[in-house]
Amino acid sequence: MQWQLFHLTAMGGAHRQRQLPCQDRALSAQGHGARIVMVADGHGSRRHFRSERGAAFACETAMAELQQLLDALPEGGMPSEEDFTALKERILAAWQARVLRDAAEEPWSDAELAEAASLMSAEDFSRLIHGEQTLLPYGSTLVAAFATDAFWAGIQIGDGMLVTVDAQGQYLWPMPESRVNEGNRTASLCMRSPMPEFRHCMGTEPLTGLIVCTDGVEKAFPPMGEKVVSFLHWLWQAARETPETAGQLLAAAAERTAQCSVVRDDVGIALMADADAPDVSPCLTGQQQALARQQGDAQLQAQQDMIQYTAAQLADAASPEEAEELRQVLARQMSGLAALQATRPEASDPPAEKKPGPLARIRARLIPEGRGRP
Amino acid sequence: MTNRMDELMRSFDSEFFQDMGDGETLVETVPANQVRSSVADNRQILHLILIIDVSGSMRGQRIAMVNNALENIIKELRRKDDLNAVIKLSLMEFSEDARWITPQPIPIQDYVFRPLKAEPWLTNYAPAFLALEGKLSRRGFMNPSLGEYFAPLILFITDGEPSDVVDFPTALQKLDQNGWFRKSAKYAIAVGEDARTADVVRLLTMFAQAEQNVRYADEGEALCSLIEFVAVRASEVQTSMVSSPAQEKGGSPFSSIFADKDPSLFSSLFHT
Repeated sequence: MQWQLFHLTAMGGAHRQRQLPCQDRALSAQGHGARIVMVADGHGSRRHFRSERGAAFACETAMAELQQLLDALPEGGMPSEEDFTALKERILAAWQARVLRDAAEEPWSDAELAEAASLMSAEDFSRLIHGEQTLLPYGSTLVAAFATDAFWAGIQIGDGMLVTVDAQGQYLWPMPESRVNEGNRTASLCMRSPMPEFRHCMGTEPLTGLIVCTDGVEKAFPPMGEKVVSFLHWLWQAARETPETAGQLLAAAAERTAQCSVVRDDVGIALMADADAPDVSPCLTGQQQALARQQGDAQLQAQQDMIQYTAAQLADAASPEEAEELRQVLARQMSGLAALQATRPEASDPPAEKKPGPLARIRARLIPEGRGRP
Repeated sequence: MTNRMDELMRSFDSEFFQDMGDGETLVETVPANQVRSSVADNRQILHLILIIDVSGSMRGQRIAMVNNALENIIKELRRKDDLNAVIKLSLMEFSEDARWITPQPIPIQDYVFRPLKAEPWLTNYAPAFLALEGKLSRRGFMNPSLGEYFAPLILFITDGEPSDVVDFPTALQKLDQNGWFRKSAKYAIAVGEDARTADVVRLLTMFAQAEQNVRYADEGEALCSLIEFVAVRASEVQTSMVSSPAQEKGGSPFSSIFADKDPSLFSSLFHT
């Protein structure tokens, strides 16, 4: 096995436009038979006005604590549940201490206080200026993966993803789900009670890769679907090239994603890949295939709902001009549906022996043209 | 770049990004109402939710004002919906009950304007708030499979105090606990002279969560300009992911629409 590790960040197009700093951080290290990769994502809003520092402190403290844990493990040993609990508590304590030191060395500026005053409630602002809410401006997530030849493991608080890659080309998400993270929600190091949200996972099966990403990658794709698996597979392949080539490829991919994805968020990626592992194609698990079908079904259903809505509007058109406009919309939507169905032959028109469904009837009404109410 | 690097980057671009060199190519290959792979469509998404009072007191000139403003704003947004932005619209009307006119966020190019009609009923805010809360979820409008997980811009347009003074605070409290709602940009426009009262200010501020996000329009042209300004200006602002009531991430880019503009620009639009 020849493990290659990389870590990189890229500033999101949205942040660049709004003149915000990049709030993602990434770090990696290997030595003494152990490998560590991690990313952290500062929250970035004006309430969290020092979150890029919070993310940097998260990586700094987590790396130190993980190295200490790994150094203390016997050869072939694995962390216990108690070890994970102690690790998380130490990371939190170290991060909080680092934040408090930073806040003491550099008290809030007038500009920072003015922003905070305009965005926080009076109560929160009062707590901030009286030193009771010091952690909030540094809020950040953290996703870290670490491994030896005996085991692999991960810890995570907040959004982002940790993905394992096995010799069969399966990309799996082993981390237990957060109770908080959904849509736009995220847990954080700066929460009042972060421990319940600090998750972990561990396994002993041999891997050929471990990838952690911030949500700038995670939310650029439908969750855990075919596309994100392809994306991760591309990263894994790139990371197995010569180190210089791999570094350039990964940087270019991160930059492109940060600029061009629909979220245009900062991107943080850290990964380890076994350059000696044989090439394999990505292999969707049964669950992932089902999810991909589900996502495709959702898109098809949404398109069909749109068509039925437009058809209903057309049936009730108030003027010939409105009817004509609706017919054009309907034609466009039907074309969109056909494009979707072309990629899903199993979801196409119903069997011939059944009566034409509503969409077939709508399609038929377009030829010849219908008439609106006079 | 070596041949191998070139080959890998070409495969990356072809698999994950559309060729942006030709706008027509983009429209043909990725219809505006699809975001199958978000990375393949690098346009920003603005989701505009309009919640409009169609109660009895809106009859006559007020509903005519609103319809005129809506028609104009849709035309303007269509011009903005191009290579750089996908603008989607959700429209709800409410009086005693609430009804979504659009079944899901509709691309602005697919929405054909139809005038709203005021109904001879009372004004109840609770059904509108509950209907909104129900759709601000993954099973509602914020469906990641459809690329629709951006906190929307919500415009609440009403002319007066609600009749359901007992019910609506509970409904608003439920709405306020919704993570998507908290991170959305929210504005309220009070239409007509009757709306210019301290109680209405208080109520609409509860919805919009900042007094600066509550505005008045007692003339047709002012209402048209106001709605148009908010929505059209919003379409020019970068959309970004925002986070939770647990912790925020990225602030709403819309929150500065009113705050950071030259006050003299507003004097003809805003009645304070």
